[in-house]
Amino acid sequence: MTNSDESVNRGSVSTPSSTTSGALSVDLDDRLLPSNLAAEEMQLALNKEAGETELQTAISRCKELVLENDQCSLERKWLVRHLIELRLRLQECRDALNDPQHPRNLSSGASTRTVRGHHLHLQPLLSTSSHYCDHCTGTIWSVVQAWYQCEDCGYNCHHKCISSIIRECAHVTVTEKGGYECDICPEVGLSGQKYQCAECKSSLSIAAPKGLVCFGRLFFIDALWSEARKCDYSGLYYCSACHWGSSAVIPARVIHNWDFIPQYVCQASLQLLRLSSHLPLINLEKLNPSIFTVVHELKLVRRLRNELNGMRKYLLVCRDAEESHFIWKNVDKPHIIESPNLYSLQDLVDTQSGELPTKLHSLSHIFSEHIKMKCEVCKGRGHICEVCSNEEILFPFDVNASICNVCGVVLHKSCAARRKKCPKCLRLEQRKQDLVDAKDEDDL
Amino acid sequence: MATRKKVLLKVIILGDSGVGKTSLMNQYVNKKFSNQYKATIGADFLTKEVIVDDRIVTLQIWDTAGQERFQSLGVAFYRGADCCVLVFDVTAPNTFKSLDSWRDEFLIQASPREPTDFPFVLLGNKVDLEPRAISTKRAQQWCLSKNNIPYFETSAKEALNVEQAFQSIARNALTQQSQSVDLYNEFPDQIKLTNTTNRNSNGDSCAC
Repeated sequence: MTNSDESVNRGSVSTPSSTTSGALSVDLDDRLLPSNLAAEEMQLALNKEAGETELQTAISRCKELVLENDQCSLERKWLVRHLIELRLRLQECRDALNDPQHPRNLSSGASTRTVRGHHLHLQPLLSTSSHYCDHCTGTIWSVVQAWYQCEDCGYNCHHKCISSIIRECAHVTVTEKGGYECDICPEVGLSGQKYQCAECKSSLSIAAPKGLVCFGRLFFIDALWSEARKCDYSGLYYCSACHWGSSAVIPARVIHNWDFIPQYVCQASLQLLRLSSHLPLINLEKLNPSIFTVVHELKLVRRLRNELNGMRKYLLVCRDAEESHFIWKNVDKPHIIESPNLYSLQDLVDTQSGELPTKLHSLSHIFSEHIKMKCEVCKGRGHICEVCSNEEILFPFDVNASICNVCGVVLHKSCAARRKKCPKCLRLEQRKQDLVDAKDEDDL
Repeated sequence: MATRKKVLLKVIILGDSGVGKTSLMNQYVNKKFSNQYKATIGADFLTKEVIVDDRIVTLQIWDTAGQERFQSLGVAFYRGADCCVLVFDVTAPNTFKSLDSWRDEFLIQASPREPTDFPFVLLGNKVDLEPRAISTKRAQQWCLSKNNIPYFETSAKEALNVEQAFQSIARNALTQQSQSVDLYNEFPDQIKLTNTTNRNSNGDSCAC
């Protein structure tokens, strides 16, 4: 694969800089491992049975390399990741020594490999499901071919492809980037990509050339030109090996246009979107606040989530709720009530389908039943509006409640509107004044 | 004609943070004391059955947070209280000074029918500690100015006077409740054949 890349680059691109990049594609590609590490990592990845001393030397070597590299450089980032990986493996090695039941002792040898952040596990032969290699796109004949799957992102590949994996593990990308691409299809254009696939750097064209024959020699070889496929999420063009024509809902389109129509995406984006669909990464309030006025379901969801967040504060300090794990029993996705401004892509999909509002309604019913009816302590922690002195217990999360910004007292909205100033604030000021007066008298 | 119905008395303990409200309650209910300080969040209650004047009553003792930052949680539990216990630390003068504001705040939030007659009990806690900052006399004077409320000097650590104080609290709460029992009766127009209960307390709530 690399050989063919090089030959294509040499043959087709005329600028001198890209010629070198073709020749040294491994070294200059910013997403690739530093060359000095590549050898070592492969060695370690292949030599799973490395003992404690070997790992120790690898760790100290890695530390040296970290110090040699510049701060914030890509090399350093990879080296630090590698260091963490080595330390984890050392720990695993030590655990295995003490525990005969440890999986490391039970499985037969090199079953886990770590490459580019992927944690690849050797899959059993004879599995009936059919898979395709994410690297070479070939079918994995699981009966005869050894193959691996990443336990984090689901990347599949042949044993023979392990050493040339290009794609970073989507799990690593998600955790490090911490957010979605929020512009709709941010294209740079094929020329901006130097007519190369954004992932594997193989050459692209808009339409495959038929091949140019000159004096009986074929200059452009059809097979080396790949059709350019656009990924709607990243806005970049990919070759057919990196873009399989799968489709997915695009976060940016949902955020800005409330558009849930699946678009074509490359494999890397697909894995990333699949992996992060349940993570609360979208701050809708910040990205597109006006969407709440247009989409009524979202407005409802926001109101319910704020209400639940208010109830959560009561449940967190309730002795009974804590003992019975009340919150955890009823909430499957903690971010729903913990951070009411953050949405996962799945939340938005469920909002559109009406599933989420229904779920939140029933949750709100369960919570308020505990606070307002069942639990004596929570009920006691409610407020009584001191303006109208109605016996009804008022909670800060109620729709008709208004909370004073200064002293935190809770009144009916209508009662608060009738008063110019919060009665408790007035009282507190009065008391402060009285104290000062009393002190003055003492001084006199 | 004491009712055989179970009597529940609601007692609220108030005072600045760190005066020993939780410790007093724990000493009284669980007979335990810990030197470690742990701020109470919001409010919580413990219950204890006691015998007052040959009647079994259940005390529902609400322990509250003295710290301001926990007061955003509401104080709806003040409503329907039968007795309010004010606690200060005899070695810390500031905790004595804020008694007035605790009392006022309670009366506003609880809004009892007769604020002047509502039973309060004052506890000066930590008498085992030196040096004293508030003398017995000064505390008693304050009590006298507030319609003669009972005063006890206690130590939650040494279990000193705690039992006696709460016994008095229970008794005061019971009188409060029996006085108001006819006010909150389910049948306000019933005719009493015996004249044991005094209905003149109803006079104040007349609309004119």
